[in-house]
Amino acid sequence: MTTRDLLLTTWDWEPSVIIGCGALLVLYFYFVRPRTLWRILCYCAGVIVLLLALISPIDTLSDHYLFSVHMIQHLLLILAVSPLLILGIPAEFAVRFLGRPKIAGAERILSNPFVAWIAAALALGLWHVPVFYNFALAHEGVHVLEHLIFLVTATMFWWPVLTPVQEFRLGAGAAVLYLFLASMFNSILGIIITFAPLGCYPAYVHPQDALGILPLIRNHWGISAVADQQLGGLLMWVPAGLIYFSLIVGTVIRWQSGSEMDLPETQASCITRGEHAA
Amino acid sequence: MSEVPVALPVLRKLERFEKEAGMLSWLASVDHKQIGILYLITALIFFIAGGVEALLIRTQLMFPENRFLQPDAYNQIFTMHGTTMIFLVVVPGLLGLMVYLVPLMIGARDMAFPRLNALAYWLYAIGGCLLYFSFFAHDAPAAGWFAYTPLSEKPYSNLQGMDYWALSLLVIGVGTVATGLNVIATVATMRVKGMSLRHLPLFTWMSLINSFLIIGAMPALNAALVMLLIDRQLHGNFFRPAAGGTPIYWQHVFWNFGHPEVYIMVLPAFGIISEVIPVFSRKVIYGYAVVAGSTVAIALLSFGVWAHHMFAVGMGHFLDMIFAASSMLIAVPTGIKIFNWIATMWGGAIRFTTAMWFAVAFLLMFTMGGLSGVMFAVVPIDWQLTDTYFVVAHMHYVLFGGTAFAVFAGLYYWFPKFTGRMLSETLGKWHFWLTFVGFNLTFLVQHNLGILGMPRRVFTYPDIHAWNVLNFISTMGAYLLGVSVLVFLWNVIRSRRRGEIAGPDPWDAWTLEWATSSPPPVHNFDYVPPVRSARPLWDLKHPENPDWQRGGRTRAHVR
Amino acid sequence: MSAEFVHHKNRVLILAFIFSESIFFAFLITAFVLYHGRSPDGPNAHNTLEPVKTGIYSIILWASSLTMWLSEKSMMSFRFEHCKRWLEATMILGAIFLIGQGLEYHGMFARGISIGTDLFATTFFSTTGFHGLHVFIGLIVLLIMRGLTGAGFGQEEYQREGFLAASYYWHFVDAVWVAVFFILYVWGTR
Repeated sequence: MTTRDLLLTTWDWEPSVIIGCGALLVLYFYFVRPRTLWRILCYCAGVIVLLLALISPIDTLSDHYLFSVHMIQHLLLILAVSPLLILGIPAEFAVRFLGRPKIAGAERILSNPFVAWIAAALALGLWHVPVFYNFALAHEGVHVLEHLIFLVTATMFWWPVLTPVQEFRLGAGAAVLYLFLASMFNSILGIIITFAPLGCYPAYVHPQDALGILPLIRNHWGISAVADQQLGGLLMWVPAGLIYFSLIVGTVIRWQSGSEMDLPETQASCITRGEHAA
Repeated sequence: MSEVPVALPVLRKLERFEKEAGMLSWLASVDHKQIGILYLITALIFFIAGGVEALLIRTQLMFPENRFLQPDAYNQIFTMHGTTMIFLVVVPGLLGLMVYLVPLMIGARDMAFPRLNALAYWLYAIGGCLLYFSFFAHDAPAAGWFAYTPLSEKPYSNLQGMDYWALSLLVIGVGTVATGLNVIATVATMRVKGMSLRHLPLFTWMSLINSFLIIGAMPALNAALVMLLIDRQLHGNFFRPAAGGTPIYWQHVFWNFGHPEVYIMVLPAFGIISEVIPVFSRKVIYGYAVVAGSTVAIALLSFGVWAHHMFAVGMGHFLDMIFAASSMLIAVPTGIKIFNWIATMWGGAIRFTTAMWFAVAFLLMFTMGGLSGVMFAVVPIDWQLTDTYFVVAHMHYVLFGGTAFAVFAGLYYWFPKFTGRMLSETLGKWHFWLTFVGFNLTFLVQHNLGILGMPRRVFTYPDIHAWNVLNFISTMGAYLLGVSVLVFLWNVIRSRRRGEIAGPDPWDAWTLEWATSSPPPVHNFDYVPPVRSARPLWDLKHPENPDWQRGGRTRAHVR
Repeated sequence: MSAEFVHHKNRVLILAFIFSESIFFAFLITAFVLYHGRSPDGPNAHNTLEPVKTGIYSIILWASSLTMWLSEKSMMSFRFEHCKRWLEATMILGAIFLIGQGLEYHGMFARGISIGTDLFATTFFSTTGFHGLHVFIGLIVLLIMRGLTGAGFGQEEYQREGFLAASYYWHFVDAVWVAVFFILYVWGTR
């Protein structure tokens, strides 16, 4: 099997994924009724990335062959899908939706920056503990659960930073601290994986080569088991760190240029959670 | 009045004490201005020491097979030169500017913790003496400024030199952290009413970011030094391969400090340039928010690229690849800044004072240093050129062509504020051109030497024609640099006594330090003008067209 | 300068200091993790550390965070007598922890284990030693605070803020021990 064959033939049209993505789109266009083009583009991009991460060869490779590709899959879910979906939600809808007291109450707890940060960190940290990671790899149901948890906690994490409702957003200083601590956690985890001894994730050291592509990966692509784990850790450490960094810098520049906070405090809207029903 | 009334009697007392105590007041002072001057003078003394060491190095390398210095002495001298210039000159010199200027720029009376400030200075001064005391103990450190293990371990450096080195850097490191903490607390809590963080002068903004770098990076050095000392003094095993330790761990910890350190040495320089260029171009800095934001980007990235100092270690293909990419990325925010400064000068009414000459030369020289830095991010080039004179050239273009030029710009700009008298412009121009020519003569040719394969840190070299010529040119340039420093010293000494009287605001500048007399009184300000933008003095001088009314600071206004 | 800004400076300083110190400890702990399992023959975490015994002392140290918190609350609500009592309790708990550490060291020295014995001993003594040093400095700070509160300290806002800063430092020292205990004693001996 060549690389070309691999990319063309190993698409895994898992019905649950396709139904899920379809449902996301239907819900969006039927209930949310977006009007701004860039929001629609963001949302659709989020769904497409989700689809690609879960059915394309990325999924096959990450389930059976390469730790590093599995890392890419997780990073896509956490750092691309969730933020893009949040960016796709129009402010009007968010305000209307959160106007219901019960939902507002849930949102208040879930998007509390402490709760959200810790939930995201726990999800990321615990699922990479070898015991849990290997268990998820061996059991398809647990694996799906793992991905769902990543999506949910990542959405919780990104909501205070990216929410369309300006009033719910963290202030610039708090956002910088929030993102900086997250990037630290993420980098430390990445550094640990990069320098950890081989064998934490045994399924990738000696993959069961059902498709017969192991020689292609090991010889043609030149990714040994050692390099694979190192690359996985590095992807988490550096490129993922850069995403946090660019958001921090973006926050600082936006705050410095004062596009949104020049309003005197009194003029700022006094919308608070749960008060939109009236 | 902006002073808290309760403090006034205390201030009077202080002022009287300073008058009565005379020179003695310098020993006991907690005034940020006196401490800033102490920092600068001490750094200048060590600069002369480090400069003499540099001249010794260049004299030894003037001819092939030279026997001017013995190999051991040569190793000691290049180690002391590097250590001195980095830890005793550049960093404390910049700290001196920071503690002198930051309180003035934000309209404060002093640092948040004046006594901590004094403690930090004395730790530095004593630490510096500790390092130089090693000469009297007949064994200066000789393992290079980054003291790679196992060379710096007991079996290979068995006299006391490395112990002096580690101890003195530990003492200085603690002091540096203290000043970093102090600057953060000062900027966070001592700003005059109206000065939001978005109205900070860029020098203060960069000092703030720099302080975060300091408190994030120096602990790594301190940890490394502690481990080295435990190995050397208590027979520990951290970096001893025989006991299972990894000498590479030293490199990881050291460069975790070492790379941010590069930016610790350059961010305040960026701050100086961001003050000098707008004032002498008569224009607002172009893109304040972007200059400020890219500083944060540099600070964050600087913690994520340390492994590029270790490409030669053999860390693995992917590690090299990823760090090569992230190291190239760090050039982006730096490049953005260069463009911002050029855009600030563009169409401005430029006044070519000595400060401005140095600032413009900084742009050129630093860009060259930056570009050779990007070359090193390419792993094969790094493998080819690492530990050659190309590295020496790159590093000096960043630290001398970059930081030192910016510091000279800053000294010509702020000397009137420090002393009340102008530095001579005539001598200044001589100083500038001698420095510029001498610097390029010394270090430009070292790029070629490196490409021709001459390794760094060798005490002599075989008789190879190209090497001979280039080394000779480089040494001549170094002597010229030595002369330029003498001109500068003469300028300082002469202007201190007989320079033109400056008055409070000789450059028609815009930040708060120019709103008080030169030199400022002990309590800094009798009256702090209202702050409603990043240029409070512009607003004061131009009530018809103040910055805060226009809203955006980024729009350029030529006067 | 406006007075309302000045009074946060102690807290800003101590928080920045804590950030700086955590990085210092991070490198020492990293050394332990990196070198874990590299001294199979000599003393190592498995055959030397006693997680249960140290665990008890650890709980005592963490309890001192609670008493410190109570002391700080009392200070903030002007109940200075309560403040002093809780402060004394904190100091006693901290001192017990240090004694525990001293006994542990003594036991190891008696078995001939010192900082130069092997990699485990080097990393262990460096990490816990520097932590112990921080506890000791914390005790001195608390002693000063106790002396000051005895002399009427705490009436002014800036004094209470200074007290708060000392308290933050103490909590930080305890938090470091959480990391040290779980990495050295729990993960290290698993």
